Amino acid sequence: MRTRLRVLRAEKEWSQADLADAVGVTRQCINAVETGKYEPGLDLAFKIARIFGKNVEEVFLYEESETSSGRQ
Amino acid sequence: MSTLPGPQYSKKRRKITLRMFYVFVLLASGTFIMADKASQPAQGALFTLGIGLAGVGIWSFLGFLKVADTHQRLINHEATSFAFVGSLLLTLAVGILQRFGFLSGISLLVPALMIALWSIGLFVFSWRYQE
Repeated sequence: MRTRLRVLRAEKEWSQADLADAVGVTRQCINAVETGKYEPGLDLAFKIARIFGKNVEEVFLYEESETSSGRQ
Repeated sequence: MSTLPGPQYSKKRRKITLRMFYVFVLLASGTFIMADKASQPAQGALFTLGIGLAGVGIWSFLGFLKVADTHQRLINHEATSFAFVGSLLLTLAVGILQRFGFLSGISLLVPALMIALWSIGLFVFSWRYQE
């Protein structure tokens, strides 16, 4: 899964700490999501998307090939 | 720059519960060590006090997990697994050594060992998620 979080955050000029406070997680969590080291749960993904006024799919890009190749 | 809504959670509560956990585990360990060296009448009271302090420590840790986010819970889960497996392996090794007459009377150090391994685990697994 890829994310546009860093770009969206930069557009709004929010720091990782600002976003973390707004969605109720630690700054380290936002950093891990941005760097792709941690995939957020549905609850956090929706909270983040809502903060930016976007749909989840506009913030998190699900790459079909990652799982479909695993299932084959 | 657009504004964000204010914090929805208490950062303070996470810090306080985690600090309480460390303090009470330290106090409990100290009390158990004192109880081990104390005379008979005081020993029972000190052990009871130690169990009570350890109980508050566990309660603080559960309180921390309650306010922690999913990422922190994941790190704690990994650190706890690391501490559990590490303690199991080390206590097994100590048990074997004790059978041959080495390292007697260090069973009280097992909780301290678990906490030490858990702290190391927290550091290592938190670092893994850094940039």
